[in-house]
Amino acid sequence: MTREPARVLRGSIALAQGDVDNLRESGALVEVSLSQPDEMAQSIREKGGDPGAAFRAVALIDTGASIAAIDNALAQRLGLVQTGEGSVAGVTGVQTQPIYAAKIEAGGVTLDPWRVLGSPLSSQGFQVLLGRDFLEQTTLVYDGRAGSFTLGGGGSSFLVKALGIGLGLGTVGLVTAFALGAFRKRR
Amino acid sequence: MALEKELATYRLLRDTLLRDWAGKYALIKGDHLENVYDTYAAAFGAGTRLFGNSGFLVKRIVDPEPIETGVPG
Repeated sequence: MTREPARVLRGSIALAQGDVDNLRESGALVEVSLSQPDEMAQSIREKGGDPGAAFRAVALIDTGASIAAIDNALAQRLGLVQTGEGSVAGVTGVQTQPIYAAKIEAGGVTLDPWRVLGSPLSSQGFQVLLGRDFLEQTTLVYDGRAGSFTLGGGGSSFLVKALGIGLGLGTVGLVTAFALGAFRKRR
Repeated sequence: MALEKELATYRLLRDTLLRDWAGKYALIKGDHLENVYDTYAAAFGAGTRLFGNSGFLVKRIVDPEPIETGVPG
């Protein structure tokens, strides 16, 4: 099923009515920036390497997940360093998955370094899960009736409206909008 | 398996670490316990300075081991 792109709006100004159906079906999706932790990037540069640029990914805010997770293929692509393993409860029992160190920026919060669990997420329509360990660092307000949610932290806040079409972003100079490309989401 | 040797080292030292350093983070490279730190960030930073991106284990010293939930496996 094709989902409309969400828009992430920096600021705290309500611009339009959200889309209740889109938020319910797609979940609370935000754009995050992923990269090597700063210290690791510096270490790589000092050795003549290239730590790579930050990667913008689609993340699902998931209060049902205890820990942040990243798609395994994306972790490999970014060259993230594995620093451990985590045990994960699934339908087939407990299994072991890699833990990587990453720098995550989302909703005004920068986590550097942060533990992220490697997981096969790409088929889900997003590449990152922001679980309760991330939510400990911020404030999430989910307004299902309005089809919107706010994610705030670090002295700033994001207002996120599902379905940002028609927001008239060009007329609003107070916000910076990041349009996520249209993508498919399969559950 | 990545970090196999480091994880074996942790298992070997586990009881001692739990007795003396429960709740902290062990930095292990190969069969050597480098040090113990208060936070993941501190242990990761030390590991990065010492070993770069060559791979090292940062392990929280806890018992029982946490089981994460809600993440696809």
